[in-house]
Amino acid sequence: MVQRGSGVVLSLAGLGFGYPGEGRVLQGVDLDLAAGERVAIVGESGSGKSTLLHLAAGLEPADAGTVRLAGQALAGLDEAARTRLRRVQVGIVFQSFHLIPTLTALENVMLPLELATDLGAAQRRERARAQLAAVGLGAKEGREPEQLSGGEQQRVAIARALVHRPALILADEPTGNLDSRTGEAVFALLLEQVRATGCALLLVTHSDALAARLDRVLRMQDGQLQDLAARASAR
Amino acid sequence: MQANVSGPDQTRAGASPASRLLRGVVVGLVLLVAACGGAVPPETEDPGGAGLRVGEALGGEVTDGFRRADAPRAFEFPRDHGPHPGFRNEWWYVTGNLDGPEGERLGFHITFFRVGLASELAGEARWHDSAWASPDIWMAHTAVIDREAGHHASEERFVRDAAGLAGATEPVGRIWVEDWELAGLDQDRWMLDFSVNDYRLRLELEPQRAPVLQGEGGLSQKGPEPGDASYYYSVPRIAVRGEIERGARGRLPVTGAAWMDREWSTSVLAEDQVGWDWFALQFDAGLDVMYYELRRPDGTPHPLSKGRWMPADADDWLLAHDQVELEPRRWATQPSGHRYPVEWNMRIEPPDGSAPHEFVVRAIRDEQEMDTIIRYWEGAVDILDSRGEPIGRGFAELTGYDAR
Amino acid sequence: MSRSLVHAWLRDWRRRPLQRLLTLVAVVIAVAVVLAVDLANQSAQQAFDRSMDEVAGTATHQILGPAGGFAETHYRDLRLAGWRATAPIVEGPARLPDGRTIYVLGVDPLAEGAFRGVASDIGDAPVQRLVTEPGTILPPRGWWADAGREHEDRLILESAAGRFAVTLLDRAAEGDEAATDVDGEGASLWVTDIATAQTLLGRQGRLDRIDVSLDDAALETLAEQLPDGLELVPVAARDQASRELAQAFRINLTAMSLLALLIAAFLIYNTQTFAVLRRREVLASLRLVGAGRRALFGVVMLEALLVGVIGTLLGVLLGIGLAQVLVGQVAQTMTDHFFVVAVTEVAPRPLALLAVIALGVGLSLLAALAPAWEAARVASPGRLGRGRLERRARRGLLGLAVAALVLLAAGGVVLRLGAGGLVASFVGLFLLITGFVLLLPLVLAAALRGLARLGRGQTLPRIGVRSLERSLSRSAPATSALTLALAAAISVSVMVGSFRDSVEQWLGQALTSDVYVVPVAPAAARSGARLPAEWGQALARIAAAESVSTGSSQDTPSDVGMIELYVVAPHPAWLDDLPLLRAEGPTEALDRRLRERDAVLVTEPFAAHHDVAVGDRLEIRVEDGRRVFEVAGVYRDYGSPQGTVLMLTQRFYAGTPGAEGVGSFGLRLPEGADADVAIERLEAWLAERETAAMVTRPGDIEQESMAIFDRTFAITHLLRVITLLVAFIAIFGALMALQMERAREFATLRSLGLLPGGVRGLVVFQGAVLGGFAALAAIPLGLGMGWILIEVINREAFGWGMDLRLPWGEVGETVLLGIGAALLASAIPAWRMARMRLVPALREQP
Repeated sequence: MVQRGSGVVLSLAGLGFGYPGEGRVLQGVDLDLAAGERVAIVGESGSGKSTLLHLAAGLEPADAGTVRLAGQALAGLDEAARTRLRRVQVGIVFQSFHLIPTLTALENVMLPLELATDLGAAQRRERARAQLAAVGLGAKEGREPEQLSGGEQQRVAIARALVHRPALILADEPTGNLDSRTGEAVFALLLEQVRATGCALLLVTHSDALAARLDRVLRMQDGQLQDLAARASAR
Repeated sequence: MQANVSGPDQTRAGASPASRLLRGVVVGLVLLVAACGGAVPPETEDPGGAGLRVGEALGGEVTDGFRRADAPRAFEFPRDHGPHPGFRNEWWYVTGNLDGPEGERLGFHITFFRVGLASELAGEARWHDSAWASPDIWMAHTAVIDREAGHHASEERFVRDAAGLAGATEPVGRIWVEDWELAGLDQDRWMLDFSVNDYRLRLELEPQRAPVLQGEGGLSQKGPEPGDASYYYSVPRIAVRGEIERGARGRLPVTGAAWMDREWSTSVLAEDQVGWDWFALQFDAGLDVMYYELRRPDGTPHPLSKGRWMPADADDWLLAHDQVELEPRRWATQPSGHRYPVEWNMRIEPPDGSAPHEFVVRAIRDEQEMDTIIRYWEGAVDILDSRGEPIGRGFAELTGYDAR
Repeated sequence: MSRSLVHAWLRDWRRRPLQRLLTLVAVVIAVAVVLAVDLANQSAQQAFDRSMDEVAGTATHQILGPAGGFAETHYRDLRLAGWRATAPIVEGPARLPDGRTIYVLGVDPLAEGAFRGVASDIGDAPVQRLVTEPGTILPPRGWWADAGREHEDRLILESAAGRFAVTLLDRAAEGDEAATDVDGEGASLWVTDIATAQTLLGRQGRLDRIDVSLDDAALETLAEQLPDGLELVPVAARDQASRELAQAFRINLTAMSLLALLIAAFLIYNTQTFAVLRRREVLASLRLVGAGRRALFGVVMLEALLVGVIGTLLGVLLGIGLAQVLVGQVAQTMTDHFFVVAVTEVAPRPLALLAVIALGVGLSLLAALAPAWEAARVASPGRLGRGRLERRARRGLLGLAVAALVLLAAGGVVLRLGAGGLVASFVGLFLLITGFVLLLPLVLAAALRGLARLGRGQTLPRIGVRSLERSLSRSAPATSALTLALAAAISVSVMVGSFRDSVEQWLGQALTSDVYVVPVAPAAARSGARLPAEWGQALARIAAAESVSTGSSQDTPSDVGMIELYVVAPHPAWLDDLPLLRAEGPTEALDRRLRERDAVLVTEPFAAHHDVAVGDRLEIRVEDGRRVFEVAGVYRDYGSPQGTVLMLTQRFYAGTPGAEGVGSFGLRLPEGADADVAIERLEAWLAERETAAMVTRPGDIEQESMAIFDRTFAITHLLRVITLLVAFIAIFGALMALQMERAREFATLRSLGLLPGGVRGLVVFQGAVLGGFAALAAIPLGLGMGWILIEVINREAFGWGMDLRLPWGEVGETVLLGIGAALLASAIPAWRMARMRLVPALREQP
């Protein structure tokens, strides 16, 4: 739908991160994500893949290397500028949904529009409704998160991540809190929506099966990234 | 150490606060003259501590500005019955023996003390416009002995010389401390009106002989320094008639004989005197004798002890201490626990060369100690000849026996 | 309970010191305020009693005369008649160079022994100097410490008779250690010899009273012997009115401190609950490793005990310090209104201390009980979530509302009955307050829901409002605390404002002359000072006045005890200016009745205290003996809390009116006359008189009166500030907790793109909502409380009626203050939330 430029959406170079006294979580990670590219990162839990996601979103500053989001280096930006960049360029889907409990499904989806766009209230509502309908929850827009099933909540979350058409969707184990059937459905929806909107997708998962359905799969091991797909194609 | 600390404190807890001053005034200045003064060591209990304190407060510098009894003076009566301002202390001292119509035997004692706390008011004149502003205070003691009732009562007062509460009129006339009064001093007859607890005495006093000057022409040396002396005269024989109200027992008309002692001075302290025994004796034959023996710490008479030999219708003579022998015959313990002599052998070699007088002086009642802040014994006595027959009456005053 | 369990639980102290400190602070403040007020009350009370006792000594009765004392010859006559258990007294106020008023007691040390220890002891050199050096004075022992003066220093005292240089004597300096026993700490009287007192107070030849200590039989005889003009009055009767009033004042204060306590209780509850809930993961893991319910309950209560004990101890220290501030204020008020009191020390009573400790520790334990029970009860601690608690809390709202209504009804009934006097009135008031406050959560919930509905589409504000609603158990108590504090502030504003207005209005009405001539004396002494009555004509001539009025206050015996009698010769048509409340007939008729018959007017407080109505009769001692007067009317007057009886001069004096002088002259100038000219002339004339007098305008008197008024209520302002402070901490704690709990949500919003500034805004917005709600809720509550204070409590305590005035300016100020406090309180949470690290917050359990 929306035609993206063919440039690099996300570029990680020599990325490193560690907690004081707990060793390095990430070390020398390099990764470029092209517009519209869908990449999966797999790895054991605690391997640092979620941290990688957080660094990419600018939720936490890296202590080594650089993160470039839509060509901009995060390191040079203050918190507010980072946030501004993030809210336009990135949509995040969390493992445990992270819907705002005091807002309805529709309001949750409207949030990014309110934060990242200049749209009027009516337009925001319209766009959010459309997005919610796109994830199949048009009928439940007035429900609060508590009144939705896990799968439905994650679908709202997906709608929320996509509604403002970010260049990049970061998804952290989006099916991790769902049973396998629901997980499968949600995952399919996510892929479908990403494809439909033309966003790039960086997915973190421990499931090789899900990862395999993306363009590229990278493995995170001991804080380092190995490009499995690249190896496969080299064969 | 313990005694040092606890002694004065008990005093404070026990005695009424007003008493503290007056104990001091009494000890230091008036009644005991030289007796306790600075001589009482601080570890003795009651009167010593306070006395010492007030002695310090009142002693020394406080004589500044007061007149001193340091030279003979001309006496004139009745003027000198009146007050002598400028001296620190002055007293009117009346004692007497009384008889009721049915042989009742009584005695009385009243003393008016004027005490100058300062010779004059200090401070700016602006502050002196109150009727209460006065540096003088009055202390008064009264006592009555009622032998039939087996009773000795005494009372004391302290009142300031102000606002008409107490004072002595000038010119002479009236001495009063509230409703205790000695009036008519400018007349031939004096009126004495006072109370002692339930007793009220209204007496008419008629002097029977002219005032007699004590010491050397009225200057009575009490200490070695010039000025450590008082002006002192007596009216040794005064006829008394009047009435005594005795509470529930009703009124009693009385007659008898009284004696008035008058003294004023500023500094009479001497350190080697612990007390005195004073006698005012009226012999039936008309002879009057005054003698006081100042006691030294070792009990021996002080050389300044003296008296007066006052025969009827003849010249009177100074009695030197070596002309008098005084020997206690019997001692009695008072309700307070203090012991006083109450019977004496007395021998006088009259200075006029007549035959020596030997007689016994005996208290009409053993217990006649004054229940006042400063304790002393003031009592009626009989004079007995060698056969035990009464030959006269009198009064005795014993001080300095309460120190230990 | 194992050590490791305790360790695990208390580790949070290190992790979140600020949060835990809040709990502590709550306890500290609650304990401190209650203790401080109690201490201040007690100390003032003791000083008051001591002053009364010092003045009265051990006297059983006092002989009093009509006005301005009586001739000292009466005392001499009594003494010469053998009445020895008597002591003459000349007494009155004087002013120190620093403006403080002192009370001078002039005694005859020789007559004192039976009555007072303080100056009976002439054996002490200083006391002897009192006698031999007129112009010397013994300041109270406690005065020396702060005065910076030394023994023998000269000091200027200003009194009704002028300015005098006195010489200060210090017993200690004269080496009299024993004086301490007699004098005692905190004695408040300046003792001097009666001669000095007569000069100093201008009472030459006169006594103010004679103290008497006699048994009943002797008293009867004495009473019979007293000359006309003197009365034998029991000591107790003389003090009674003052004592009652002082008590009323103290009850007022205690109520204020209890209000502060109530607010602090919310705070403690809030922080304690939060302290437990915050650590539910700790609880969960403790359960998992096998800690039993009792152990969990125990560990929570142990912490509460620790907090309670530490907080109480600190609170006691703070309270003692605070009391030092309060006690001066209380003493000043007592001095202004009742008696000259000098408070020098603040001594905690063991019993009060115990009570306060029990209060502090008990409150901490009580507040922790619910969360502790919750902690222990829940089968799986993981379920001990906020949501669950909130749902329960919301279910409880209805019960709360029922309780609230019951309390409101009970409070209404108690106030309506009003039979139990001041204490019952306060109980009623507190029932109403508590009822109202219990209703608040329900109202708050409804208001928040309404607000959320209103803000549909405004996503962020909606989040703010709805999260407040979801955290009702957190936001409601904090809001209640703030509401209470603001309401208290409003009610005080209403009460003080109405009072002040009424007083000002009354002053304007009462001061009907254009110029006054009054004796030179400190305010407190003025009623006792006198000017020659014959001045009246001269003054009128010099000022070219239209008419002259005179007025003199004096204490006089009556069949209802000692009363303050105001004897006046008023201007024509004076009744038109007098704020009459109850009277019959037209003013002309009333005026005639007051002039021609034995009739008096009484003030409103007098009518209240003595239960007197129009038509009742009072037997009052006037110059030539006691006569019965009819009460012809009641008028409004704030001049004396005890109340006053107003009588016209001709009814009081049998012979020449104003024989012993008059208290003040009022000159009414002709229309258009220049008051300044008249004043100048009067001053020139007065300068040549021997009696010191000054000219003053109504404005000056008003100013001085209002200054005293404001001093009286300074303490309520102070308590108001403390109350607000407590509320501020409550709202701060609540917002802090609220935001910590909502960290995950905020982190989510931040990850979605909300700027740090947006987070700050959101938090501050929440503070504003709570503050605004509290402020709005405080308006009706505060106005209601103010109304009750005015109509019930003040009437009960002082008998003063006043017109209710709504000080909208101050109400508005208070509302802004509340919102401001809430905004200020949200500053730190806002800043912290904006700077929060996102990832850990995102990982938190929902």
